[in-house]
Amino acid sequence: MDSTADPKGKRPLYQEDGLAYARAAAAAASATAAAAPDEEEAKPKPKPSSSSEEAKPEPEAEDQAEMPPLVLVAEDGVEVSISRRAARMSHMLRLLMEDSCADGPIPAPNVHSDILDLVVQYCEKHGPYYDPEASERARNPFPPFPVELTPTVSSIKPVTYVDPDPHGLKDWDKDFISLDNSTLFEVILAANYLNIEDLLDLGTTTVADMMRGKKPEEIREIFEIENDYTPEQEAELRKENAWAFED
Amino acid sequence: MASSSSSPPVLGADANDPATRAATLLEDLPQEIIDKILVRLPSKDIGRFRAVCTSWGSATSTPQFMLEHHRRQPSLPIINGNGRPASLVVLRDTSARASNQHLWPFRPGFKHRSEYRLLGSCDGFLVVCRRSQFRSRFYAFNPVIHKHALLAQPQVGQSFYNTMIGFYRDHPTGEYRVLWVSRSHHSWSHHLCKPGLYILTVGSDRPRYVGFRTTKDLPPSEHIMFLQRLCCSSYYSPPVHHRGSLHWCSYGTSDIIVFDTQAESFRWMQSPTELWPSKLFDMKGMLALWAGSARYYNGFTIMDVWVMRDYEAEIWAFMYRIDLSTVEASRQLYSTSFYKKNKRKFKKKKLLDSPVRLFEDMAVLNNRELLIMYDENKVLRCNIDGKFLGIVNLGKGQYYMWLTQHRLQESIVPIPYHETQEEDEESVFSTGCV
Repeated sequence: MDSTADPKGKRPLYQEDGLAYARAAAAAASATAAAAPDEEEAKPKPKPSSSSEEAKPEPEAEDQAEMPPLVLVAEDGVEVSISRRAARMSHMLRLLMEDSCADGPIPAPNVHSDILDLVVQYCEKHGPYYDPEASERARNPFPPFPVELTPTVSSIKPVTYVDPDPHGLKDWDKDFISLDNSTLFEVILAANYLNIEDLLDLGTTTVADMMRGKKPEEIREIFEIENDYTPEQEAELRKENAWAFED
Repeated sequence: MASSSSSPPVLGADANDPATRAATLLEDLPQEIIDKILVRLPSKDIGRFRAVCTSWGSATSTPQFMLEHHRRQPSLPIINGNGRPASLVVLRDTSARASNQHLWPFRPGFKHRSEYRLLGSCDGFLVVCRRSQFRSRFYAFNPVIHKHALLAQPQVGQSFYNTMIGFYRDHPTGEYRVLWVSRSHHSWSHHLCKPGLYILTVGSDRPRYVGFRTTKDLPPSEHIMFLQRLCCSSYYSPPVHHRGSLHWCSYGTSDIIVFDTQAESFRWMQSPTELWPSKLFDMKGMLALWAGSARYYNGFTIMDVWVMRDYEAEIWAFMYRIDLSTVEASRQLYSTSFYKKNKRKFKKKKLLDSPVRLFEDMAVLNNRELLIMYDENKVLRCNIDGKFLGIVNLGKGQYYMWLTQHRLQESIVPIPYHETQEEDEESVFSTGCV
C-alpha cells in the first residue's frame, strides 16, 4: 500500500487563494523569464496526449492565435502547454491573461500531469467553439432566484427539437468522460481549481448519472463511502423518507 | 460508458511512478462539489441517498439545497384522467411507452375522485378540496414527499360556504398563502350577507379577514356580485401569479381581475380581446392569454395567443394563431403515415382517424408545443405552427382525459404547517398511501 500519501485526507482546496497564488507565482516567474522570451518556445513539448486533435483558431482571433501558448506546471513538475484559445475556458486562466500575468509558467499544484493533460485536451477540443454567454444561459435557463419561482421551462423535449450540436461535441464528451472513478474525480477537482464550468458540469453530471436509480447500499459500495449511521438512526431516516423507497 | 467498478484502478500505475498515488474517492471532493452532484438527481434518489451517510443526509436537507434542487426541476402539466384508470397524472412524456407519474395520492383505483378537486398549484405544493355532503376540507400537500396539511378555513359552520380562489407565494416573506372567499349559504341578498375575503398563511391556524378593497368604487350591492364572479372565474381557471399580483380572466366579461398581494386590493386590466373562452397562463415569465373564436356551442375552432409585452402600460402583443383546419389537415397526413408504419395499432388508428371537430381547452407543454383538448375529452399535441404531432395517452390505452390548468414542479421542501393539526382519518392522504 502507499505509505506516503493519506488516501482519505481531502486535498486542500486552493480555491480562494488559488488566483492570488497563481498570479504571484506567474509574476515572479515572468520577471525572470522576461529576459529570455525565446526560451519559452524551446521548452520541452507537452507530453503526448492520447488524442491528436488540433485546435483550429477562428480567423478573426488572430491576435490570440499568434500569442504563445500558456504553460501550466503540474504537481509533479511536468509542464503542459495550452493554447490561449483553449485557456479561455478556464475562468482563472482567462483572468490571468487579461491581467497579463500569463506569460510565465503557471503552477497548478495538486493536479497531476496526466490529469492536466486530460483537462487541456478537453479545452483544446471545446475552445474554438466556446461562447461564455451561451454557456451561462444554458446553465441558468430560469430567472435568478428568488425573484420569481414561476415555472418557465419544461423538460419535455419538443418533437421538432433539433439538438444544437453541430460540431459533434456531445459524442466526443461522452467518450472523453468514460474514465475510471478516481481519474474522473481528479478531473473534477482540476476543473474546479481552474474554474472550467463546462468541464465541471460534465463531470458532475456524469457522476450523478452513475448514481441514478441505485440503492444506498450500492452507492456506498461503488463510491467506498462508510456508513456512519447507527442502525436506529438509519431506520429512522428510512422511515422519514419512506416516500423515496417505495416504487 | 463511465465505469462503476468498486475498486477503481489507480491511474498512472503503469506509466510513470512506481510509488503510485492513492486513488481519489468521492469523499475527497469538497462538499460544495458533492452538493453539485447530488442536486442533479431526481427527488426519489435524493430521498434514498440521505441514508448513505450522515454528511449526505445533512447536506441534502438544508433549505438552500432543496430550493436549488426544486429550481432545476421541469414544470410539468397535470392531466385529469378521470379514473379510467388513472386520475390525476403528471405528464412527463406523451408517448405511449412512457409511464406517467400518478399524482400521489390519486392512484388508479382511487375511490372518491369525484369528491376531490385540484384547486391550486405553486412551487411543488398543491391544494385540493374535498366536498362531502356536510362539510368541505381543504388540504395543501407535497405529492413528492407525501406530506399534507389541513388548511384552516374562515367561518367554519354549516351556513357558510368557503371557496378558495388563489394559492400563491408571497415573495417578500416567502410565505405560502391561500385566498378565500367566504359566503353565506342562505341568500345572496345584500341585506343578510357581508362579502368575506380572507387570507390564510399556510402554517398558521387562522385565516385573516381582509377588507374588500378595489381601485374603483363599487357600491356595496355590487360587492357580492363581484365576489361571485371572482369565484366563477377561479373555478373556470386558476389565477396566474405574475409580478406580485394574481390575475383572473373574468368570467363573462372581457376584462382581467387583478389582486395586488401587497396592497391586498383589487383592480381591473383590459383583456386584449373580447372573445370567450379565454384563459391566462404563464409563458416564460410573461403573462399570456389564449382566446377562442369562431365559437360553437361547446367549443371553438380558432385560438389566438397573446402575450403582455409591457406590463406597466398594459400593452398586449399578438403571438400566434392556431386554426383547427390547419391542425385537422396535418392530422390527416399524420394518420396516413402512421397507418403505414403501424398496421397493428387498431385502437390508436381509430382515434387518429376521427377528425378534430372542436377545440375546448389548451395547456402549454413547452415553449414550442401545446396540448389542446378537443371533442370533449381527447387531447392532442401540436406545435405553435399548427402542426399535429400526436394524440396524448396517459398509459396503456387511456386516451380520454381533461386538462387541468395546474402544473407541478417537483420539490422536496416540507410544507410549513402547524404541529397541532387535527388528523382527518377519512382523507385519502391518511389511509394506506404512505
